[in-house]
Amino acid sequence: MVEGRNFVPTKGDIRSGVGPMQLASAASPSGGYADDIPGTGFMGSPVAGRSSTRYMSPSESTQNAPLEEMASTPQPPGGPAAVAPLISVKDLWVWAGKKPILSGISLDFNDREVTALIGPSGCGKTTFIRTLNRMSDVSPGLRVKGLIQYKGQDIHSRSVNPVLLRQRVGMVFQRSTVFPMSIFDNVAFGLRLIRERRDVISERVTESLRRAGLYEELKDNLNRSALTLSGGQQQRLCIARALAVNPRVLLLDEPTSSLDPSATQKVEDLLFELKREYAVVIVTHNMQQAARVADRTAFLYQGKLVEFDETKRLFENPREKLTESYVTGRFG
Amino acid sequence: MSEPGPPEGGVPTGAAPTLPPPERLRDRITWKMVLGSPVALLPMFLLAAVAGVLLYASDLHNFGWSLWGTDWNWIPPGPGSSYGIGYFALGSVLTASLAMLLATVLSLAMAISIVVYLPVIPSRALTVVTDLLAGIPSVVFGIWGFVVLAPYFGENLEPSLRDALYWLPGFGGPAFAIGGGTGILLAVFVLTIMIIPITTAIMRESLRAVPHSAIEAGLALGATRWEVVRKVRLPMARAGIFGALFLGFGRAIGESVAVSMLIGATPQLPPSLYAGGYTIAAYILDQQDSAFAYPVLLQVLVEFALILLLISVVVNIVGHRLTRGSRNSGTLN
Repeated sequence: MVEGRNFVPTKGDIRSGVGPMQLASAASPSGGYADDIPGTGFMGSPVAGRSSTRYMSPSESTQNAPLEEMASTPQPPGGPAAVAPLISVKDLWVWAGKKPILSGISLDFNDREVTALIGPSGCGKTTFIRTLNRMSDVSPGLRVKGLIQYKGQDIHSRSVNPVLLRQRVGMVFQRSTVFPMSIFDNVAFGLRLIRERRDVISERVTESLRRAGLYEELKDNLNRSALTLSGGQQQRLCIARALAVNPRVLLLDEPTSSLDPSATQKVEDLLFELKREYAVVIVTHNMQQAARVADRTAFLYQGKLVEFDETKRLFENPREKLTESYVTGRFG
Repeated sequence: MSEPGPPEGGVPTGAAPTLPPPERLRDRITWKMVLGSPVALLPMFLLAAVAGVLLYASDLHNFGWSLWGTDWNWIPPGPGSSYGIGYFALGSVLTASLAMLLATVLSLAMAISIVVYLPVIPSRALTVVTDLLAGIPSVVFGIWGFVVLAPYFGENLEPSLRDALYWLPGFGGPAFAIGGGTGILLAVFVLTIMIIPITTAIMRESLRAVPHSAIEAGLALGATRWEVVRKVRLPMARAGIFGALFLGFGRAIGESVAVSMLIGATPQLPPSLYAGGYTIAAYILDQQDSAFAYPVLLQVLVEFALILLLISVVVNIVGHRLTRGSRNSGTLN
């Protein structure tokens, strides 16, 4: 995070774009989805929501206890002390068959912060972030145990609709997954799912492309097939597509692993912009990348959380021997 | 060349014996076989050969425009006989299209259930059952239809259908057409069952071939399973689905044995779906023995066969065009 923190030239555009976008979503007919998952017990406004921990479903009342406990837990370094984490993971276990993939991970993710997950291949980074928006439900044979809270609500509770959760917790995959349709339709995909009005859609598509730093490059070609874009553009299009549905959290699973350095640079620059409004979680096996972009970094090894700290400290002065060996390149 | 040539393109000859030469002999041979040999064109040659033999056998007999008409009166063969293919072609296209429509709807539903919705064991069971259906000889379908289905169709299903759907074209037919149960409806029903295995198998595989990453991307954007099916899987599998459709049509229009046993052998403009009809394929089968006695009838049958071939080739080309178009344009909407 020391070097490479140069902002993209379109910084002004991105910032100025924030207002209308949020206005549009606030005025949209679907109302409350802009920040919360309707009908699932998620409550609160963008600001108040961080500390709002009310539950709608009576069946959830038993979970108030861990929640209050959590609120009084001292915050990990880096996060503002008064603010509860946006996503909080407690003692998360994941098994594939009988083999444990994740063993007792506890981690918090703060709003407006980039959190990086590093670790050698196969340490469970990807599995971990896939549990955060319940994409793990789609992987056959995975068993998940533990508490994951989004804004204080257990995402595995019956009252949570994973489909709506995924609109709040967006995800970008390792390899770009653009759909074989036009650039516009790609970004509009999620908006059409929630039956947005046409004018809102086109406004939001423009806005999201602008945030992803793609609008200037592509504004005259929105009807071109997205498959004609370069790898870096496709990956940023995926980010724009995830942003279009107005998530609070963006999960990025090794978003730059198949990109060249200059495309990587662009995505990393984008992350600095995104963290002004979103909680960003990035999985990477590139330690330099974590050092460049992340505020806090978690080091996972063989399914266990070895160390979680401010990035600078984790890299320069790790507490654990294992972390030190890894970040200094002795294994991995 | 009997041995691999010297390596080219900057690799010094003999400098690295472990490196394979850039082009091996067998690569070259394979390449030539694919590009230069008639193997790739074999289907074309076969098609041309079949058509040619048929043309030759038809003796280029000139039936004139009456061949394309609907007059059908060949007994006794001679002056004044007419050999119009109209009702036969109508029957062929009608039964095949209806069977294709029905099979498409059912197969798509089955393929989607098998791939997306059903748990593993029922999904495998359904796969096995549909695949097994493909192995049943058509004459078995024919006799089953005639013995089991026809009475049921004639006595129960068709009267109730007529009472319920009399307002729908084709379902409000005159009562006299309902009887033994053989007719267009029965033929369509059995044809549908006969083509379902192939259409289901192709649709199933093309739905499975949709990249997992695209499906996950859809889910991650907050799509439900059904929305992923509708907006990601179906559009991306469109080529395969269309392909299945036209393959099913081809099989249905070419089926002769079962249709001949079930359709009621009546060359007419069917007053309703309960009425008898005829198809080109079934007629060729039925009249083959008479054709030995009447050479002119043999020529008629050969002409019929040519026209049937033409119809299926045209349908296949159209289908191929459609699928290729959807594959290349790369649009989902």
